Amino acid sequence: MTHIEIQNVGKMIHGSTVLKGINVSMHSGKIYGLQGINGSGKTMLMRLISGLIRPTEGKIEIDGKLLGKDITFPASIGLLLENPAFLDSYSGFQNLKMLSSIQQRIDDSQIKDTLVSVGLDPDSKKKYRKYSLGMKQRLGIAAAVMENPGIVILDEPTNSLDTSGVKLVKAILNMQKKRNALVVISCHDLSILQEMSDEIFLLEAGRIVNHMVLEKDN
Amino acid sequence: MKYIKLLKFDIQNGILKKQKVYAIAFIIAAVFCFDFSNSVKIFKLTGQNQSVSFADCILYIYGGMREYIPSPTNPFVFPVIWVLVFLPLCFFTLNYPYQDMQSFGQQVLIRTKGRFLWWLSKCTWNILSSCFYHGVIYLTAFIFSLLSGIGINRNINMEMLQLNFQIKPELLAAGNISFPIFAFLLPVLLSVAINLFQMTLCLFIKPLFSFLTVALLMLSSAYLLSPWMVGNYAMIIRSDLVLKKGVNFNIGFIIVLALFVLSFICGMIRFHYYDILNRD
Repeated sequence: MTHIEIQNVGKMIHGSTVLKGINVSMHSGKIYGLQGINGSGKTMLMRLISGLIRPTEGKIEIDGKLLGKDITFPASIGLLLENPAFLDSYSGFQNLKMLSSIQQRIDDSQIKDTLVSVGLDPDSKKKYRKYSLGMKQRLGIAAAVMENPGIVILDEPTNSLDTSGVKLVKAILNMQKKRNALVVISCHDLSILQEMSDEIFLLEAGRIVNHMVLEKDN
Repeated sequence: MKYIKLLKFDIQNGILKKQKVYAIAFIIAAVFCFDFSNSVKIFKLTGQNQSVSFADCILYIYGGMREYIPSPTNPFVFPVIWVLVFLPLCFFTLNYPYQDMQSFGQQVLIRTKGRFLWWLSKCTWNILSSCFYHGVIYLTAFIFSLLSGIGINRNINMEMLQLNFQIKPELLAAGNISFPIFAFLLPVLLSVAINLFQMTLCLFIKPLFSFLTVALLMLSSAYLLSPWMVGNYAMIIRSDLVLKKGVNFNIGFIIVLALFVLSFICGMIRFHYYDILNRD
């Protein structure tokens, strides 16, 4: 069970307030959607949860541990932020293998399975630099979910994806939910966000202005 | 183990895939070796019969410039060779850590669970890059010396030094001497420290400004012979082994070490609290 507690978090960058008074409680087994226009603070909130930036005020606790003090990064997290970036001269498989070798939680066959699940050929020798935007996005999603992390953060996962790609993202999100991961997504397409999320936070100018809990059949 | 993996990754992507950088180091060294051979010819034409050595070749490349004494009749001239040896390395090592931090490095960071190893790996990469770069220059000079029949030893020909750097004999500390290895290594160590300093500075200001700061520091060192201007320790001819009023390379070693340690620690602390954002 993973639990994220965000208490009165604010963030200022170069004198500008990008997040203010954020209070959010998140639990595993649920998908949390972040909705808002560009610059509303969605990505910044995701960066805060992932430990890449530190709050100017307030605190973020993950499973009772204070982020930035007790832990530098969440113990188990997968991340896709903005545009995915990988090593140009490596294939998709090589990129994921390089990343997975750090924690050694999964083996080659699991990496290949993840690549298949996002619609990429695991045996392809194609270098990342020759990937289309959609392929890059799929690889980014694969990197985020391959190690079955407790927290999955996906910033605009449907960017650059065609209809089949969007279906695939939905299937992956459901899979993450079933295995009891805590998923945070942002998406410009409100219908996708409403379809997939259990709860939606609407952000405006760095503040949460609305919190919707959506009823799901399952 | 995680550190070894990070370092291996940095060596692969920050050194082995940047062959162009080391090709440029080779070209720079080859051009200056060729230039040195011309100055040897001129030296011989002046009727001098003393032999020149590998050490003279290194001195030609890493010598720097004599003390500059400002006067209306003495315009400041940049030590072109010295600048072209040191500043390209600063430029080549400028972007890699910064770019990595904003792209693939984020994936690496969240998996290492800490920031220290990433910083340690980048510092090690920086040290290795600098050593490798200067290693290419030294190796090129060494091969050139072998091929030219120049003696492989540490003896400095002071007459040639006077000719190349236009130094008056009364300013020299000694006659022909055998230079200690340490004196040849200090410019490389200074280069390592200054690159680390630049990398740390990138955590405070934009990389381009960081590079300009380092360039300014080095160029002002050329302008002013002072033990506090660190660039002087990268100019072998400004050593007190060569000049009576030269800087002490033993003190230089301490200053370089202090710069190195301070840069590492300041960078480590700064990076611990650093916001990893897409600055674009």
